[in-house]
Amino acid sequence: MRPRALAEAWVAYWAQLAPPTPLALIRVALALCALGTLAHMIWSGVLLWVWGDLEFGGYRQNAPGHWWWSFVPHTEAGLWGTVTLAITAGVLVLVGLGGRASSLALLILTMALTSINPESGGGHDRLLTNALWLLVLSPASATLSLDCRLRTGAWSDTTPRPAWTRDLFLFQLVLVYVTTGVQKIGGGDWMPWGEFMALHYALQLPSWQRWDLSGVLGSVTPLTQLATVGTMLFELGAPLLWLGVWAERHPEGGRVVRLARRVHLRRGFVLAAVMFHVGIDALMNIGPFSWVSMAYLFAAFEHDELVAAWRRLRRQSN
Amino acid sequence: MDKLRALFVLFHLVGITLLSLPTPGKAQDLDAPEAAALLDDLRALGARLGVERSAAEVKVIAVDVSERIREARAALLAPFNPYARLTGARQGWSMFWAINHRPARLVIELEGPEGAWTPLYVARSDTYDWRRRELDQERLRGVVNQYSHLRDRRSYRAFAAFIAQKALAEHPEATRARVLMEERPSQRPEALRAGKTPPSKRRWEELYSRETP
Repeated sequence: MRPRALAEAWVAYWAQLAPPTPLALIRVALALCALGTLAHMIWSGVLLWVWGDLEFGGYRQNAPGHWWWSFVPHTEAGLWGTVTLAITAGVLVLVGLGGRASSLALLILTMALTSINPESGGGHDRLLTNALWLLVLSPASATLSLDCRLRTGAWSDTTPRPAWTRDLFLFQLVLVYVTTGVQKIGGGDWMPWGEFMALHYALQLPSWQRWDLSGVLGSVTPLTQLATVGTMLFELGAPLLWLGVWAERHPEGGRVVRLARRVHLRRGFVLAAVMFHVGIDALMNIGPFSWVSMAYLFAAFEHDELVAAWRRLRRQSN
Repeated sequence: MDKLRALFVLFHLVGITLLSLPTPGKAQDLDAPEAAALLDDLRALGARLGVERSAAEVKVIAVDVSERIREARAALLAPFNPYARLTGARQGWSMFWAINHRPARLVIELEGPEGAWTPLYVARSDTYDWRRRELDQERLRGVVNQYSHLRDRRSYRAFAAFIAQKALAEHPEATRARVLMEERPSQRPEALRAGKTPPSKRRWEELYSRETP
């Protein structure tokens, strides 16, 4: 393909339109994650411990690096005010009111809060802010939202809209899996010369273990080894998600596409991802990482599939 | 508009991909047990391939290579850093890549009027579970995790002083509080099956009385 034709294909690819239902579901899931994180901190009583300061309930002197704190003083009132605004923005994103402005507000406030004490954060904060930025770029409140209700009188609107951020969500998720998988190659426990003992040891880490499994771990070594291999294969094989999504969107493709469709590659990968994350969350407490990751997975589906799944669910529940 | 969007997407994709490349550690990071184990593995691999190097030589090579990569990485990332800072598109996904085999757990103890010390909190214990709701919360787990690697002593001291004063305030009968990280090696399956408890080391022990500010 010539450079000019390549550039035109690139421009055309990112200009595609689709009903924004997957983006709306990502919006709802992310808002629940953001609200859940804040609610859990308040319920546990650690909000001031972690994000406060020595003068108002914190364990250390914090110097928040985000520009927000140049305008709002990092005092107890300033902190609670910021948390209240973040909860408000989270609720607005959840119900889809205020469009991209609400997502932008939630992004800024989340970044401001998590900048206070970076040592208390981690991958889940970054994954959340990355997703919120993509929400800002998305028409995610165009359907399944109050915005939609006010605009059209209905709760849903299937008018095709720019769909390019769906692929950015997928790219981000695959990037997370692949880069973490590649780095694990350097950690001996994940590899044959470390006897695939990574999960055996990870489940003994007091910082993250949800349960004390020392009574069980000694007897399930083949299982933890299998899970270690499975984790590596899943993370390094994550680009298969792109192939699976591509194959579903372009069924007219060649042999590889036909094979991907025949083996239900996309659904298989999404199922593996859900099992992977539910497994992590059942055994370890690493914050909302799993839930935020799973929110990204809605981007792998089309409007029609999600509607069909919803109808199936409703039929089963009736 | 379509062309602008396509350009932006290209910038975003290239930026986040480059930002997600791991940052090689600094010289002092190579002293961490996980890094030392990795260097040992590399040395063994080299020896198997017929390249014999001492541990010190391997470390010098590792420092040199990592410094060069850090410089190249910084130059590559310069156009993308402001974007990531402003939009929350920061990357960095080195999750559980090297498992700590000698993790330390947080322990808080109180001294009674007769001078006897009793545990008040032991991380993940169902018996010594004072303030468990707070101390088991994921953000505090994140804070304590770095102490679990025996990293950032300054932050640890601030945290230990804070939690010790809370413990003393809630236990007026106690005379002093002790905060420490109990380092216990993770066990292999056969040791777990045998029910052996490995010897632990008390690290970073800090003592606080009510007078301690």
